[in-house]
Amino acid sequence: MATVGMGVYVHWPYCPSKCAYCDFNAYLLPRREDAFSSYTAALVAEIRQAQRDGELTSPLTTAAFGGGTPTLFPAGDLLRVLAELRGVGLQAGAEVTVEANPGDLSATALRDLAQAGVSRLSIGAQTFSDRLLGAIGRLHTAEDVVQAVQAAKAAGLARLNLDLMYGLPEQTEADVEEALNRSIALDVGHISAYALELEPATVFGRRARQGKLALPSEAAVVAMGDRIEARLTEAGYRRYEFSNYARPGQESQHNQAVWQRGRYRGFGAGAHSFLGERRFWNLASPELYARRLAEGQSVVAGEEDVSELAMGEWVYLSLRTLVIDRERFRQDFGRAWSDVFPAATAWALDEGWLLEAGPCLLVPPGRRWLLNQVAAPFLEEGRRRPGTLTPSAETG
Amino acid sequence: MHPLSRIRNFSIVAHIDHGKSTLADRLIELTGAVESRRMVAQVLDTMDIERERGITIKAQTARLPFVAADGETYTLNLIDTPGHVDFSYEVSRALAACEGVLLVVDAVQGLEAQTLAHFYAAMEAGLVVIPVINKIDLPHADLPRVQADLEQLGFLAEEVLAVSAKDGRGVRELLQALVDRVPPPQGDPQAPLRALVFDSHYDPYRGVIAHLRLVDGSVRVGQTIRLMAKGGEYSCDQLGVFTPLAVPVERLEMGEVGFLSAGIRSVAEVPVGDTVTLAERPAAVPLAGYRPAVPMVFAGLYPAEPAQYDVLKDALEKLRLNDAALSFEPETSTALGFGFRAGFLGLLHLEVVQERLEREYGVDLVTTAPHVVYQVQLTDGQELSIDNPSHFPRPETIREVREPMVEATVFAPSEAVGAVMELAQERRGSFVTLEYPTPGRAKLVYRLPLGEIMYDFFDQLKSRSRGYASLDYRLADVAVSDMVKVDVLLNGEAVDALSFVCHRSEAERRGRGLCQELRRLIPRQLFEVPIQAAAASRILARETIPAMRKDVLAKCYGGDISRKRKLLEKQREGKRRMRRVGRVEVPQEAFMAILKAERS
Repeated sequence: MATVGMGVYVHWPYCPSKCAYCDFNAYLLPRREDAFSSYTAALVAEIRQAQRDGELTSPLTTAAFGGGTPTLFPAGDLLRVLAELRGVGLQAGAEVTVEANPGDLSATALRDLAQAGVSRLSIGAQTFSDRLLGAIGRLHTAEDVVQAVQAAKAAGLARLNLDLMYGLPEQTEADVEEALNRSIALDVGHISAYALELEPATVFGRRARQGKLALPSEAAVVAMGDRIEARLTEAGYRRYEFSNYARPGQESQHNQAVWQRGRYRGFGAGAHSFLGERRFWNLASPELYARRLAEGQSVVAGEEDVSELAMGEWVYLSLRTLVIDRERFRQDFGRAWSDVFPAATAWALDEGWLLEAGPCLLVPPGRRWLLNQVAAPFLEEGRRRPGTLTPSAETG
Repeated sequence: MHPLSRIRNFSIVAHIDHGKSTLADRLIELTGAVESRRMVAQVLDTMDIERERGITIKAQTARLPFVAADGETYTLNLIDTPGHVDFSYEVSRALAACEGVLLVVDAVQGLEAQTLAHFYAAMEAGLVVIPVINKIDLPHADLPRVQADLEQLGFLAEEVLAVSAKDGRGVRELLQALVDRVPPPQGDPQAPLRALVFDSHYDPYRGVIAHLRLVDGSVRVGQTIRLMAKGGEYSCDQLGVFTPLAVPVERLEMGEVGFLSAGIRSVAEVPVGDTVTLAERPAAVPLAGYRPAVPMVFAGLYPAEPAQYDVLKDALEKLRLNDAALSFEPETSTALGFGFRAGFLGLLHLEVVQERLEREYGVDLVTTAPHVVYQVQLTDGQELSIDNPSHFPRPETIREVREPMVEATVFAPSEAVGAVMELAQERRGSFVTLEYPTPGRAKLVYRLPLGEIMYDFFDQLKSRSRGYASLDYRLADVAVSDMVKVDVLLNGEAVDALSFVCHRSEAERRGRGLCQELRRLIPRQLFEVPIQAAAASRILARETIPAMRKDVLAKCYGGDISRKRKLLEKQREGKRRMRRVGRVEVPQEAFMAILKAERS
């Protein structure tokens, strides 16, 4: 998949409010009335620019609309961008995911999206405790989540994801259990469960620095995560990435391609793109982004040549899926795994960080919470150029 | 050569930051000794570190030609002095080479501890002291107050000069005052040579250049010289004077200041304070006051990367060529591997050496906490000199421990006296005197263990006096003290590089402080790590670093890949800089943690 197609991502940078944990490139909706239309026009312009510059050579096999809150935009804006993507090669039947907040989805809007080919809806449920929802700055209730799922199903959107969070301040094991039970009861095909990460530039980050955040202990967070895995596995979901669970066939194709180091082009303010050799990212400010595009200028804010990092990055991304397919590595790079990572592999097998299973290396359950520890030596060894390979400094 | 009557030898002394170096620059510029377009700010402070910190570490000299009011040209020999208490012996030798000093006082700050220390040192040496108020260009300059302070020291109002080294005001009058007030050198030009070594430096091409003040007799190129204390004999291959650039001469005579080179390989062979005489006609008695440099503070210096051991060794050897006070010998630590135990005059000297090793020689260093030398008498009568806490003998074998004591002079506003006394008491100080040399300023003298003032004493002094107190100290004697060694066990294993020696009454508090600081500094490992402090096999304190349970990113999508990969790389880089002690990865700062723990 990674070698044949590419994904597109479209960023919608506005939100009705800012959540206490979120450091995404998202802004409160400005008062200017034309904010939506000028931003949407800019997206269209950027798509045309990319097409003109030959960045969209392969068939576009997946599309994801994220944010911010895409569904805060009038449905017409989303449909206009989707139509534009169809014009530059987004295939009929391609997976098209839209992120949505419970509470801002009208039945009409959902039907319009489904008819335009949106095949997958990702709903930010986070938790089913209204007390916690209020505390983390969400504007919806647990009941809104239930209604959003029902409305989406009614509109014919069969592939649904619920985002859940754990390790929230004052969250208890019972809160997590309830979120699991209710999510499973809603019979969605996909559940993402994220441990809270404290980002410095957020309300939570600031409160934590002031010592004013009652976070569950690390052991409690680990216990919650383990419980989530057990409960979802029992309910027929498979953990196919550290934080993602899906019933068979319900996996996010877009994200799977990212973890296989597939190429993608991101449109919109602050969006990141990866075209095989380099990663680049757009200006973060939506206003500046729209203005530059209106003037026909580039909106690239920065870039990084990652060709030397390719092999290490490949492993680091594969590790997210808890499975390293050495045969796929050989296909992607034309080099044998054992030639590139002799020392890191030996270390990881000796120390029990990885298990061998045919062509694959698996991260055993006991080591998943320490994934960064496994990744680091591979990133380092993968960076080395041929001929400079020496046994890794890592001796465990 | 000018007649002796037209030579004046003088030093400038001042409290740190009172503008000594700027004044020296201005004198050199005004007398035309260095063309002004070649002036680099503060020509006398040549090392980067000195210029950055604004302190003089290596003294330098300059010969200044000055046409005085009587129309005659005088030779004013400026002998610069180091500006920090660590180097007080060097200062005393520089003073011994002079007949007069300029005592520089900041027009805003007024008198400080070192101003007084220098003043008394100059009086003791029998020098003419010319009081100079500097920085009169500053808006907050308070001439009447500083003038009054100086009068309290016994100066007459009309003796006090007011200058601005920055804009040059009053500097010409100051030069004239040197001619008028400082006596010409006295000595016997016919007597056997006696020249005081007041400084030296190493030149990669010529070897050691000794800086001399000729007290008696004369010396010519080609003569064989002898060092009266050190005992070496060398053939003098060059003589010269500093303008401040080195200019060769054929001969140096009584009363003059200049330099000598004689193919000497290390500054340690020509110690400051030694007397140079001639082998064929030696003087009977050397000049008074010679004292070999005694390192007071010891610390372990280890390469951060074991492979850099030879680089470190080479760098230390090169530094020692130019720094007679630096001593070092190889040592091995189970925690840090191969390195050196190095001795320094004081903490600043240690810092300067550390910085030079890192900056000039590119060595990445791990330094262990500095310690003083303890004299230990064992029950079997054996005497040991302990400069490394990990060698401190077992308590049951010790009869008596003696620690070095200093006499510390603190100069502080009178309202801070209480706070300063409290601090000195906390550090096991004993009160000596309290005087008020000028209204509102107190001079407090305490006898303190050197080991107690090494770490944060000066910082504490500053903070408790809201920045107004200043400190000067000199080594006094030794005192019998109840000292114990505290060991630190990491994951059950004693880490030699973390051991320290302290007074028994402090062992528990410091041990606990260090354990807490280590818990803060050492990152979590994949297993639980107990940290214990123990003295005489008794556990004093325990902290635990819990095992790392979770080290994983919650999210990794298209927008996160670069940022999160960099996060991992940074984490990895941090790990690479750590030392492995047993199974535990320890960051380099941990070996200096005791310094921070002192404050807790």
